[in-house]
Amino acid sequence: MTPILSISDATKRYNTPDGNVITALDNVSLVVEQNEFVTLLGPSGCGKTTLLRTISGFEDLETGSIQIDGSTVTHLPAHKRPVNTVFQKYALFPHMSISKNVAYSLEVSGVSKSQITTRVGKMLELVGLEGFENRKVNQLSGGQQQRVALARSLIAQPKILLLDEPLSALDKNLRHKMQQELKTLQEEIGIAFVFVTHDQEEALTMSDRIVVLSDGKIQQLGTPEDIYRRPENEFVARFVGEGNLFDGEVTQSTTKGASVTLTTGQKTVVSQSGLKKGDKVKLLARPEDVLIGKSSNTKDITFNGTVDHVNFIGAEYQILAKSKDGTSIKATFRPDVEQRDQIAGVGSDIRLYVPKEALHVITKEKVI
Amino acid sequence: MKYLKFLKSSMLSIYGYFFFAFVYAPIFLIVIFSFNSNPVNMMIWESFTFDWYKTIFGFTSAATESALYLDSTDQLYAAVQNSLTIALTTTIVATVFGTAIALAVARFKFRLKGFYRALMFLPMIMPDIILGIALLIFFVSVGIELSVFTIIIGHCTFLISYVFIVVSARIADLDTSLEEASADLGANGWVTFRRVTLPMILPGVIGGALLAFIISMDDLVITYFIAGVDSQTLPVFIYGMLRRGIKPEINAIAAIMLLFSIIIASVGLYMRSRKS
Repeated sequence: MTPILSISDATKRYNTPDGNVITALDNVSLVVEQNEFVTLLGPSGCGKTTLLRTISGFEDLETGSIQIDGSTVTHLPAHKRPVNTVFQKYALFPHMSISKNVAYSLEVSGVSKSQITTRVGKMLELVGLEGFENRKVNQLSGGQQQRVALARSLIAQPKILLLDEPLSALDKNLRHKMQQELKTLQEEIGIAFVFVTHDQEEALTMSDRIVVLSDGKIQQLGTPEDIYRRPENEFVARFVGEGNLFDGEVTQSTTKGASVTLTTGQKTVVSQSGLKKGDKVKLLARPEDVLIGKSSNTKDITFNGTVDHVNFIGAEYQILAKSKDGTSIKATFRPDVEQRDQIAGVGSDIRLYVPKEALHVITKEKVI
Repeated sequence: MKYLKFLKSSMLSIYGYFFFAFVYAPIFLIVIFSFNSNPVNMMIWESFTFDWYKTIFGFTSAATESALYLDSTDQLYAAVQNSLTIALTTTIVATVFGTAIALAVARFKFRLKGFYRALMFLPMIMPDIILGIALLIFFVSVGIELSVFTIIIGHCTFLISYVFIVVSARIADLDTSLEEASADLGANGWVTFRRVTLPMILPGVIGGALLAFIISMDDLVITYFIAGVDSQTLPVFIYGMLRRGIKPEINAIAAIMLLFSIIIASVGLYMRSRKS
C-alpha cells in the first residue's frame, strides 16, 4: 500500500526582520502510513507547525518534495490539496451559522443542496452537535467550537486530517475527553491524522507514532514506547517525560553489553551493544524506575541522601532527593494502602536505587 | 467638603452643557432661521414659514416673490445633481481602489511597503488648497477641460486614502487564519474574497464609502479650483450665493443637507451595529 503522505528532504528557511536566517525545516523526511495517527511533537519554534503548513500548502518548500497518496503536491496551492486542517483557534467563520460553516467546502466545490443538507446533518451527528445548525459561532463553548471545526474539516473526506494544537485552548478535563474522542473518531473514519502539539503527554496518549522535532530536525521518530523508553538522544529524553540522567564512561564493551563507570564512581552494566571503550554516555532512569530501599545487586545504581521535596499528585508521590555531593534524583512511586502513612518527610534520610535493567544508554546530545 | 464636592460635580456638568451648546448652537440656529419669514434680517424673528423650502423646491409664493434671492432653482438643482453624480461615482471608485490597496498592503510582501503606506496617508494631511491648486495646474497643463469629470478625478485622489485608512483598520483586526481556513476547505482566491474576506471587512468598507460620500458631497476648497463653469457642485453654489449676502434660502438648503448627512450617518451606524 502506498503511504498516504511522504515528505522527502524538506527544507524551509525564513528571513527574520533583523537580517538573520532561521532554518525552520532542515532536510526533514517523513512517511505516514494509511490510517496512521502521527504526532509532531516539539517545543515552540521547533518547526512542527511549519511542517504541518507545508503539508496543507500554506508554506512553500525551498527544496524537497511532498507526496499525498502517491501524487506529488509540492507546489500545489492549498485549495487544491486533498487535506483539511483543524486550526489552533478553530478559525470558524463568525459571519456564518454552524451548518454554513460545516457546509463550506461542499458549497465551494459545487455539491448539490440536498446532498449538502444530508451530509451536514450526518457530520453534526458524528460530532454530537445535532440541533446546532442555526446557531452562531459565538454562541458555542470552546469544546463545541472544536467539534464544529472538526466537522467542517472532515466533511469533504480529506485523505489526511491536519490538526494544529487543536486542544491547547481547552481546560484539562475537556482536553482529556477530546483526546479520547479524537482517537476514537480517527479509528472510526479510518483516515490518517497528523497532529501537532507541544504537550508530550498528549502525544504519548494519542499517537501511533511520534515525530520529535527540534531546530527543524527530526530528533526521533518512533512509537510512544520507543520515544519514552528508548530515547535516541538527550534532547528527546529530557523533552518527553521526566528523567534522571547519570554521566558516565564506558570502561568495557562486549557484544552482550557494556560496563559503565559513573562520575560518582559507581560501576554498573548496561545491555546496550555497539558501545566503545572510552565513550562518554548518559544513563537515563525514569522517576518511576527509581525504587525506595536497598538494592541486592551491586550493579544497580544506589543513592543515599535526604528528601528535599515531596509533591503529592493524587495517585502518586514525587520525591526529589539530594545526596551529600549535591547530585539530585527524582523518584515517583505509588504507595499501597499500608505504605501511605509512612511517606518520608522533607529532610529525612532516604535510600534509593535504580535496577540496572531500567537504565537506558544515551550517547548523543541531539541531532544537529 | 460635601459642598465642595457638589460644586465640583455641578461645574463639570455645566462645562459639559456649555461644550455641547458651543458645538451645536450655531447648527441649531441655522435650522431655526430656515423657518423665519423675515427676508431681510434673519436674526429678527418675524413668523414661522415654509416659504424658503418652497422656494428651493421651485414653488414661489407671494411672500417670497419680492425677496427672491435665488436666481433660478434650475441652477440649484443642477448643482445638487452634479454633487450627487460626483459623490456617487467618487464613492464607488474610491471604495473599490481604497479597499483593494488596503488588502494588497495588508496581505502581500513587497519592497518599500512602508514607503507606499506613507504615500497613501499623504493626501489626507496635504492642505486642501495645495491639492486644489496642484490639480488645477495639472489639468490645465495636460489640457483636460474642467468638468464634472475632473472633479471626480480630483476627489478620488484623496478619498481613496480615506477609504484605505478605514478599511486597513478593519483588516488589521481580521484573523488571517480565516482566509487560510477557506483556502484549506477548497476555495480559490476569488471565492475566499467573496465569501470570507469581504463579508468580514464589510463594516469597514461601508464606513469608508459613507465617509467618502460625505466628504465628496461637502468638499469646497479642492472642488472650487477644479470645477468648470457648468460643473458647480452644491458647496460651490452655496459659496457663490454667499458672496452676494446671506440669504434665507441658504438656511433651508443647509438644513436639508444636515438632514441628509444625519440620515447617511445613521444608516452607517445602523449597519455597523447590525454587523457586530
